[in-house]
Amino acid sequence: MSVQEKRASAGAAAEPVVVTAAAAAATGSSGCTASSAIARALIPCILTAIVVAAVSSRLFAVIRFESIIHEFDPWFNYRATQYLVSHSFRDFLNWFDERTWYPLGRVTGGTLYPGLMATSALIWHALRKIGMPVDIRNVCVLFAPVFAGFTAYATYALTRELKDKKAGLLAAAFIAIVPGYISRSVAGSYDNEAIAITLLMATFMHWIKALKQGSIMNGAAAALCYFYMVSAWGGYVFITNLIPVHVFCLLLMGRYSAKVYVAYNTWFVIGTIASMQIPFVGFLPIKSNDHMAALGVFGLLQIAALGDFVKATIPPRKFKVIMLVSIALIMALGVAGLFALTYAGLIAPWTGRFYSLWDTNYARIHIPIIASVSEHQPITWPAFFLDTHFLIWLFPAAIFLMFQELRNEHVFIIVYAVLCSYFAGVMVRLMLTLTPVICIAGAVALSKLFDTYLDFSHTLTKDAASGKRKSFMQVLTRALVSASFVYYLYLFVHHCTWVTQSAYSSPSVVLPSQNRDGSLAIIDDYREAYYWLRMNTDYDSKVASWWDYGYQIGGMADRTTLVDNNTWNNTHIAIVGKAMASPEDVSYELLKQHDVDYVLVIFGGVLGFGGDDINKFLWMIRIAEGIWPEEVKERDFFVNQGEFRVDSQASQTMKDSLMYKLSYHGFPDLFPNGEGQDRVRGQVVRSSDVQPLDYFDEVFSSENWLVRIYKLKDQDPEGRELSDVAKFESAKGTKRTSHKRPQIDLRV
Amino acid sequence: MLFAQFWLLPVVMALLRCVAADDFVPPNAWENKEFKKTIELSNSFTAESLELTVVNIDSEPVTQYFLPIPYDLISKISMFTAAYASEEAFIQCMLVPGTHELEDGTVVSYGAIQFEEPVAPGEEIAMLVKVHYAVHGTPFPSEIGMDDTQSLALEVNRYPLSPYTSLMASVDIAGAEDFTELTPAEIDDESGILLTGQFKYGPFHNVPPFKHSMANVSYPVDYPLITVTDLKRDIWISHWAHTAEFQEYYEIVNEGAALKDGFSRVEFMKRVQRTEGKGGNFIGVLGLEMTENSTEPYVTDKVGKVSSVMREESKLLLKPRYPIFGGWAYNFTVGWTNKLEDFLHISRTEQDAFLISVPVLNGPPDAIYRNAEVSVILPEGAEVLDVGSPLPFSNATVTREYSYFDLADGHAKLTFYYSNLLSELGSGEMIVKYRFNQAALYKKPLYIAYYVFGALMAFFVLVNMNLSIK
Repeated sequence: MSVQEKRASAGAAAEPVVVTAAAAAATGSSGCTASSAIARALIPCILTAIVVAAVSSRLFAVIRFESIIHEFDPWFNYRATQYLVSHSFRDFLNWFDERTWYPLGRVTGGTLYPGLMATSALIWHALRKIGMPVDIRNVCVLFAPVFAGFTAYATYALTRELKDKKAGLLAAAFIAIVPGYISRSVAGSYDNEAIAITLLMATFMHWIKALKQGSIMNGAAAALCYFYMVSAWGGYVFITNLIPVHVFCLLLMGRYSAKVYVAYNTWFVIGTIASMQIPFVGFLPIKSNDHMAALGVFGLLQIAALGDFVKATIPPRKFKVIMLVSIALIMALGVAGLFALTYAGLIAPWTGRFYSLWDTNYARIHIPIIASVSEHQPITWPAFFLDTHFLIWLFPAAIFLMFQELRNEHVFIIVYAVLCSYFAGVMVRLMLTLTPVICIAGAVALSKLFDTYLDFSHTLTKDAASGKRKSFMQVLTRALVSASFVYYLYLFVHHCTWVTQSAYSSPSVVLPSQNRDGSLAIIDDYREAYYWLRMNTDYDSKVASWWDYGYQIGGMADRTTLVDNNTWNNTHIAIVGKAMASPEDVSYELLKQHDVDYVLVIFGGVLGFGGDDINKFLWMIRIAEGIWPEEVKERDFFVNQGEFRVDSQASQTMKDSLMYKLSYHGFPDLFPNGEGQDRVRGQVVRSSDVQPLDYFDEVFSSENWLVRIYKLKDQDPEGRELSDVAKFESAKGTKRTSHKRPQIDLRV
Repeated sequence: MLFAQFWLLPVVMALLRCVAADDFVPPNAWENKEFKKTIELSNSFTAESLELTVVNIDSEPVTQYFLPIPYDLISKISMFTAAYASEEAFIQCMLVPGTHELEDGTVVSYGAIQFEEPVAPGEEIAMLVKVHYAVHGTPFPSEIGMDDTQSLALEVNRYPLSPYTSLMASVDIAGAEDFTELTPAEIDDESGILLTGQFKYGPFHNVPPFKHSMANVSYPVDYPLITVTDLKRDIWISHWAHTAEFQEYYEIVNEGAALKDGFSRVEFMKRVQRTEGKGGNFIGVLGLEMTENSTEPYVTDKVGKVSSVMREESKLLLKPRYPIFGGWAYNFTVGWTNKLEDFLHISRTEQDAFLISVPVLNGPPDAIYRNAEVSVILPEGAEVLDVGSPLPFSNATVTREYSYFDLADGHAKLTFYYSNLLSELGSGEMIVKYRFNQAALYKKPLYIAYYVFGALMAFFVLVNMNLSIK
């Protein structure tokens, strides 16, 4: 598991007051009849309340911790934003970053989606213009919450098109606080997804409007939102495929109309040309298979338009023949063309990430680097409930309701729901794109339900003919159903608040812990070590660490890294994997070849932190084995029973590996009798298990041993092997390890 | 802008820039009847106090007494004062251009003590001169293990340096528990004598002018040598909030001995346990002195909040992210807020005139400041009338600073540039006199209201615009 586990902690309980109030207001309103004047005044108020709830529930992270950039990828985005505000936009697009992927460097400007950074830089400049010189860090930290507010509005506008304003308000309230979205948009979670979901909703909203009205303006607006989305997130491919699939379904259903033609063509032409302006995208829209569906549907629509024209001019019987022949011809030509182009290498081959979408085991077998990313793991069932609570069972009901009505926009939601449910099951990160449709569908279903059951008007007014009893039962039924759903809503809000504050608000740069009196204590080892690197090493030092920490080292320690979270070069990552998995002399040689000065490992054995490098070690071995099957063998790291051990029973290869030595160096000495208790793996590591380091010097270890930094020793001036030097030195009588050590209390 | 400078201890640093190339030997007008030099090393800086009894042996009255100072130390002087021994009165001191090369190649420059009235021939004067240098010994050895004791080595002249003949001279070194002479003297007479907590050279009799013999003395120092390489101290004055907000950015380095074998966490934990957290030659905790009655203290650095901070009355105990061993550096920003009344005085004579007096430094005790920029940022619309600094500064500027909602002219920011400050000298108060009237006070909210109104109007117009072509 490569991304750290989210550590839940029972610390300060925050009040869910704001959220509850806003959601209650929203639910209350959905019951109110369309008394237009009141509604006109009430809707903006409710929307404002929802936006406030959306923003404030995302601020738990700032209130409980501080205004800090979270996790891994946001650190890169933050660093890129800093570069953008200190340089011109042109420089930014041409940015070659020689401080990552040493010695290759990265053409950062051409390999990133600049939308996020450009937006925050724009906000930063605009705020300066109006006399608010806000620090760029705060702009980045508060970016996601603010855009979550916009998302709520866009969702409202989208759902309004599906049903009515009441459903829209409910959907807005849901998306504002649903954990599945909050997980990627808390304050500090400065990632592409923060803006992407907003744009996703805005694009869909404009798309549905365009489709409904056949409006070129809305089609163009959808295309512009799409362009913005392309500039901001690689997941734009989802839109690129969803809209064509929608149109394709409409064609199959025989719902071709001039409106569909206008909306799709406007969107496709403007959107595609615009998206090609993003350097990272370039000519992909006409080359990559990901975009073929859109291109194909574009062609199909032209044919459909032609067919429509022909149909209007010739008799139906002749038309049928023409249609059958032409469909067969087109299919054959299309498939053959696709194969030919792929074979000729003119269009990009299917990417590994694409395969793992269809076959979950594909990555595990063929591409360990993809499988090693925790957000690429298949989702677990409880995660659905954790992320969407009661909406998850309302969702199928809503799809059923949509089938009953089945207007064009309902087809869209059905297509969206079906595609996304599948993909979310394959890859946990796609839960993020599923969440909005769950909210929308849930809101539509609930709103339908409330339309019927929350309407007490005629039972109260017309009370004569059929008799009192029936009317009473009617009121009771309605009250029961309404009450139970209002209770569900209350539970939902409660659940969302709880999940947000306990599971999704930890920056994972600092780890929450508890003092003895139960108050919140902060374990700040990452920043301790990164800051040490920043202040006390040469600016040009190269740091080797597992790729997970690449972005953080770049952002916080400001040092050159070998590999980072932009995992584009598997071989380079395998080099680090091999260095970690090999014996010291081999690693030293390999690291020296790459000018490495420092090696950084994360070790959780003292603290009991499960996401450390020893637990990720198998991935390093596997990735290295993929490149050097002769030199690194996964098998050698297991003991006979197929167990992965670190204590005295560990395999010799394991004990000799650099990762093992760096992690456990000096660790047993911390305990009485040299018996180190590894609190993660629950095993005893003895002094005799940990061989001394001959090629590396410990230069820093953080307070709780979480981050350990080693320096590569200089080569021996007399040209000896460093292991020989160490043997010579120890033969001179300097004892390297002694077993009688005083016990040391750990304050954790 | 007129700067009235009422210095207590005037040293004209600017004069240092133009060093005359020619050789200068002061006229032999004086004789030191007694010259007792004491070098105090108990702080991270070096303090020399000279007890002098001098006689004018010239035939004419003289006004200046010269004191040679090694040329490389001139730029490190933080304080140079002289006073009469008999009465509590300061004598004017200055550094003068002109250098002189000694026999062994050492170049000296001069400090001059300027008597207010000429001293008649044969007249005897007893005075006390104090010179503080922002220097300390160099670590000896320069690299030590985690558990070793840190020692510093200082180059000292066995004789008090003077351009005049001294009848009786001695040099005392004090402030450490033990002293070792690393370079033994060639003549027996010159070797130092170790007394309790003191190391003594001399007394020597009839020492000729510029008598010179260097010794290298090492002494144990079990505390970190805190050097602030850069300090940016901003004091924001707000009349609306009635506050003075302090924000200080420190770049500090421990100039002690570096670690020989790197930092071992196990060794460190054992050491802390053994010494019961007493500390040593590393900075484990920095005690930052804030102004009294301050509120809302905070500490951040370039990667965010530093949470290991504890408040103890007016002191802020900051545990840096990592213990700062010799050669290691750290930087941080600390800030706090005071009520304006703590520093503000309203002028009785002039209308709308205010006086702010704030200490030049707060911060860690026993630290050397290589460069310090101390700024007072006045409210928007205020005008600087007069300023004063208790310490010599190299430059002072008034610039414009734009902050939140500064839509008009921005704040006037007055900055003093200092070098070689010592924490001990920082308690002196700098004074800023400025004019700030009611009109300026109300101008700011009006400006903000004006812009908000403009924005709302623009919004209103845009919303009501109808661009429909139907």
